[in-house]
Amino acid sequence: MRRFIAIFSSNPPHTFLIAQRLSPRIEICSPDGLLLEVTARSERKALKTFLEQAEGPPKTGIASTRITAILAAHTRSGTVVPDGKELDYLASLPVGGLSLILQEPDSKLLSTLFQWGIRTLGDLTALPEKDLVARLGQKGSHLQKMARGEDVQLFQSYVEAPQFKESRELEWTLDSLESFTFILNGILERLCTRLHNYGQAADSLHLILQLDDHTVHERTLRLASPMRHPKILLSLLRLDLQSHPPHSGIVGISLQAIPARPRLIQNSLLELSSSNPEKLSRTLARLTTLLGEENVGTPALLDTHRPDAIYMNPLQVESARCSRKEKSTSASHPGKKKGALRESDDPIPLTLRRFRPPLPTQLSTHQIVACSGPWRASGDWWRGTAHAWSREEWDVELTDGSIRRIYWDLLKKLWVLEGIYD
Amino acid sequence: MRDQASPSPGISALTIRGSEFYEKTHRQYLGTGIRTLDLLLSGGIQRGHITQIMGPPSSGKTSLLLSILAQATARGEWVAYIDPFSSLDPDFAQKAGIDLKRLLWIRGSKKILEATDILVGAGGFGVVVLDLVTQGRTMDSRIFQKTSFPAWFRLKRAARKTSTALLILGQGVNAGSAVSRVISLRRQKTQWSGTTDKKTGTDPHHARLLHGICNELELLRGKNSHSHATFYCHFQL
Repeated sequence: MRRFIAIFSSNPPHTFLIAQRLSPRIEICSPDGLLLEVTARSERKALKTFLEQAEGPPKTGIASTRITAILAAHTRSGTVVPDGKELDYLASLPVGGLSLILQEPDSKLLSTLFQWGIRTLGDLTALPEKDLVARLGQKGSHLQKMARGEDVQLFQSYVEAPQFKESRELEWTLDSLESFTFILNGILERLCTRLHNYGQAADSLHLILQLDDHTVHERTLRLASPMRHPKILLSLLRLDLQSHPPHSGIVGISLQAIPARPRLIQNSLLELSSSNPEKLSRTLARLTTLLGEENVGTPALLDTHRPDAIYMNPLQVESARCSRKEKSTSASHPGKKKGALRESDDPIPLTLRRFRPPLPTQLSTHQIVACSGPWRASGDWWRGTAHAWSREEWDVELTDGSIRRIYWDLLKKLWVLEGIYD
Repeated sequence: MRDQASPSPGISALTIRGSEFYEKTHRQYLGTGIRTLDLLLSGGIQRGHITQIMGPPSSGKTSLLLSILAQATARGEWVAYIDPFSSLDPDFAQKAGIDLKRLLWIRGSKKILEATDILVGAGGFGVVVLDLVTQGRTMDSRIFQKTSFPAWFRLKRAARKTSTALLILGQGVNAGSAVSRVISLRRQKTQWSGTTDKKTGTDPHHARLLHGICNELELLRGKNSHSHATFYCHFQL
C-alpha cells in the first residue's frame, strides 16, 4: 500500500536532497513543498530519518492520499492519518484550508461556501453533490472530492532532466582528422541512441577537445534544425573541425548535445516539398567551411534609419517555417500584400544595387540628365562622432543611362556613390 | 461566311489553358511576378535550367530578379543569392516581397563557382542566383571569364538533376551555350514626378521625385525568342 508524506520547509533544496535518499518518487507540489511516495511499512522510518536530517522544524503530514497529507501538514504538522480514516480526519478541518491547494480563480468559490454557512470540510461533504454541481458547476464536485480526501490530480513524479554527454580519454594522442573521426563516430552513435530513447534531438553540439599541450579546444555547433542522425552530425563536426582545426594533438574528447524536441512536419498536399533540413545543414556547413561563417547566412535588418544597417544571421530552418506560417495567417488579412504571389502586370518594386563600401565619386553637371534632391538625413550623433552620419541624398540620371543614388557626406565633405537603381 | 480574325503577333497570340498554366507554373516553371513575361516564357523561369538575365545598368534586371525570388519565397521555397560584390540591399529585397528568412545570402568574391556547385548540386533550393554584375569594378577574371565550358555544363547537369533554377545575372552572356534562356533588358524611359516651375519652365530638382523606370525585355534564346514585352519598376519609399 502506498502512502504519501507531505513536507514543507524553509530550505527546499536541502529538503529535496534528503527526500532523494528516502524515496525515488518525489513530487514538487509547491515552491516550498514536496510529496514523497513511500510504502506503509517504511513511512515511520522515513519520517524519522527526515526529521533528524532536516534543517529547522519542517511541517509534515502522512496519509494515503496526496491531498490529505498536504492538508495534514499545513493544519496539524506531524499528523499521521491512518489508511481509511481520511474522511473522519478532514471533517473537522476548516474549509478555508482548501485555499492552500486551490488556484486563484477557484479560491473565490470558498467565499461563496462561507456565505452559505459552510465552515468545515465535513459540512461541505454533507451537501448533496447534485445540488452543489447545479450551483457551482463541476468545480463544486471537485471541491467535495477534495473535502473527502480524494485525489483529483495524479501524483506527478519528478524526473531529472537527462544529460546527453559523452566523454572519452584517449590512450595515445590523435594527430589526424581521420582517426579522430573514427572515435567521434562511436561517441555520436551512443549519443544519438540516447537522444532517440528519450524522444529528443540535438539542437546544438558542444565539443571539448583536450589537447596534449594541456590546453582545451572548444567548438559549439548550432544546427539549422534539431536532428539525431549520427552520420550527418559526424559530417557537420568534421567540416567544422576542418575549418577550425585544433593546434595540437587530441588526448581527450567530450561531446555534449543540447536536447530539443525533434522536428515534426506534416506537409500540405498543396505545397511543394521543402528541403530536407539535415541535407540543408550539411550544405550550409560545406559553404561555411568554404567561405567562412561571416559570408554565409540570412540577412536581417536593424531597427534604425541608418542606411544599409544590416547583419547576418545563421540560417534557421525552424524560424523560416514559423515565418511561413505567420505569412499564411497574414495572407488572410486583406491589405497585407507582402509575400503574396503576383500574377499581374502591376509595377514591380525598383531595386538599388549597393556599393559596399560606398565609392567616393565625382560628377560634373553636364553628365547629369535629371536629378532630384537633396533629401537630408542624419542620425547616431548621440553615439559620438565615430558613429554619427549626416548626408544629403540625390537621385541622378546620367548621360550613360544609369540612374544612381549619390550623397554629399556632410561630415566628411565628399560626394559618395551609394548604388545604382537597377 | 465570316473571315476568322488572324491572331495578332506578339503576346496576344500566346494563349494557354488555365489548368495547364497552373501546373506548369508550380511544377515546371517558376513565376516571375510579371504576367506578360510569364506568358512569353510559357509559364515562367524553367526549373532545372540555367537562365541568364542581362542588361546594362538601370535596365531593371535586379528588380526582375528580386521579383522572381519573391515569388519563390512566397511559395515556401528556399532561395540562394551568391553575391561576390555584396550588392544586394536586404531592405529593398524585403520591399520587393522576399521573405528574408528563406534567403541564403552568400558574400565574398572568392570560390563563388564552388559555392554555386555545392548549392545547385545539393538541391532543396528553388532558385540559386549567381550575380556576376561587376558595376565597373574588377573581379578576379579566373572566377567566371575564363571558366571553361565544361564547368557551366556540369552546373547545368546538376541543376537538371535537382530541379533548381539557376539564374545568372550579368551584363552579357557568361555561361555560353549552357544557358537555356536569355532575357535581355534595356531601359526605355525614366519617369520623374514633380511640378514645373512656371517662371523658368523647368522642374526644380527639389520638387521632383524618381517615380520609376519603364523597361523593355527581349527573349534572346529558347521558345518565343525575339519576343518583346515591357514592364514597369516603381520606386517605393
